[in-house]
Amino acid sequence: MSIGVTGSRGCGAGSRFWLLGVCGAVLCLTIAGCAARKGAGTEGGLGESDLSGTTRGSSLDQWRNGSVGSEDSGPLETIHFDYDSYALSSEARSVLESNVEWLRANPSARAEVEGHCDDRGTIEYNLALGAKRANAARDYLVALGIEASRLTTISYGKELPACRDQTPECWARNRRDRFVVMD
Amino acid sequence: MWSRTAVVLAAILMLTGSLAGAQVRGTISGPGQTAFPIGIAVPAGDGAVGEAFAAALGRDLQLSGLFSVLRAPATGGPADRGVEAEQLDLAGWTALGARWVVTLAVTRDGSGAVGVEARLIDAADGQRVGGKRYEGRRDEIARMGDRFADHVLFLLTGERGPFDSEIAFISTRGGRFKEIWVSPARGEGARPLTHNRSIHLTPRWSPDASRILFTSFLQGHPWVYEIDVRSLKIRRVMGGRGMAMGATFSPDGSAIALAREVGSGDSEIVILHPGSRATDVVSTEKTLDVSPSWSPDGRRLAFCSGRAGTPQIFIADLAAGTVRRLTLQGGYNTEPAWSPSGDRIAYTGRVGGSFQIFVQEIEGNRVHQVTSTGGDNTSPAWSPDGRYLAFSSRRSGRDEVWISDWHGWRQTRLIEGGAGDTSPAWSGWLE
Repeated sequence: MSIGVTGSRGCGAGSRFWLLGVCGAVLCLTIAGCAARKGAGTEGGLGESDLSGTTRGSSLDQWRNGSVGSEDSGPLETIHFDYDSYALSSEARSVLESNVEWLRANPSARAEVEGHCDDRGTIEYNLALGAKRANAARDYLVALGIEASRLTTISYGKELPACRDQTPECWARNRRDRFVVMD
Repeated sequence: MWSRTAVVLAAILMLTGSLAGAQVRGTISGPGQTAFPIGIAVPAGDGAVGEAFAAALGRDLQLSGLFSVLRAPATGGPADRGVEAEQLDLAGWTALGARWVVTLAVTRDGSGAVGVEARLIDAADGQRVGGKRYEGRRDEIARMGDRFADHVLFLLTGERGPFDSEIAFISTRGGRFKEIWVSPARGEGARPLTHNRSIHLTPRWSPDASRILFTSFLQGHPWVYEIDVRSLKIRRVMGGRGMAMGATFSPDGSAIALAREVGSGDSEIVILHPGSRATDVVSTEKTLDVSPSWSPDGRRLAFCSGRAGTPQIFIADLAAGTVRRLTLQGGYNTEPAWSPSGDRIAYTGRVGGSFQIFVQEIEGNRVHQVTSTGGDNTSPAWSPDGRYLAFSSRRSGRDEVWISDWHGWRQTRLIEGGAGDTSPAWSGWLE
């Protein structure tokens, strides 16, 4: 499956130019080949197989496999946040300092920092808050000497909770930065 | 999937009786406080077409909060001799409590095409308030009922009803994936729009209801996409470094406002002009700015910002380049939705540990709490007529889409048959 750049906004979705794929190329992405496999309702859409941007071992990857929230066995430890806050606690800082030790010992390793929120908030503000949380950890690691080029960030907002109970313990567990070591 | 073009309004069947219209109009001032009894008479023998029209019409009139819908009992009910006012058993309908009666006549019942005449009659004096004739395909009968419901609201309140429209929402029906679904505004007959096995968020209609903007992790990162409702083709609107989210079309459809990530995880509101590929940055504060919502005239944007330390609603005047804070109470006010009338903004606010829907007047800043149930109420969306709000509610313990008049007087589950339904977006009128 490939992404074909096939049309511009001005091409008018639904026109036969779309089908012929002859529109000028700007932003449109269509994927050929989805229709037969996935049946009515998804023809021509960006589809499930287009996962080039999904990091292996990320929470999104785990969720797609039905295993999000499982205990992490990776070398980098998760940190946690207060409600509606992206400030690093002293506990979080000490965890990050031990994560720095591992990153120094493994200089070729790169990591993605995932920011997550509990579900006591609204969708978009939590996405923004997750981005701040991921960047707070990234900035601290960089301040401790890790090259910025080794670190990327992503926010999952409240979309991929580690647990789903409506309890303070569960909310606290969900307010987290998770670190994924990238191959 | 039904067409959004093919219900043909053949003709205005009967002129509104001007005297009766003048008398009746304005007798209903707003949804919620009193439900006026209205009868729907389906002549025996008309079968499925009349029943399908009546079912949609009745559902809409009930959802409006303005009416309680009466159907004649199987035996002993009004002895109507026809659909015209003089043929109705007005005494029989009045005995049932009806203030008005809708009569239906099926004028065409082919395998492909059907036709229905609908009349609204004042039960007190037998005056015909108005009527319409509809013709269309057999799978469009319910939509004809929706359109007549909107006309009944017009005849009796002076303002068209909102039911010839659709609601897009996010649902986990069928698994853990969050796909986009679309339902007629009457809340029955929802269908999935995507089958991407991914996370889709915050759908927003184009003004002509042909496309929906949404945020999705389709390609791994939260980026903004657009789906064509008919062809189901998906186009990426904004991706690249950092996230992009919460996109919404300007009222004329020519521009898109969205929030994008900038350095250090801050987010800013920008306006894309796809025609010219120009981008305007609405505000350059280093903070969290999300969830833009256009004023109906396209001159202002409401948005949520963390610049005051907690999330609050702000209004940007696009020409003047000024920003002012709208919400002054509460520590977590998000998800602004500008009303079609232009003078109110609905939003989600936290109060006492739960999330509730509020409406605030832009001039005068008067705040009105719409919901106050246990279980969160979030993500308000205005109906095209500005009378109603659809929103996510967890009051039953599950995520469902509910509807209320904006005062909150009468709150009803809107989307039937779901659990895990969130983020409703109400389209404009389909015609």
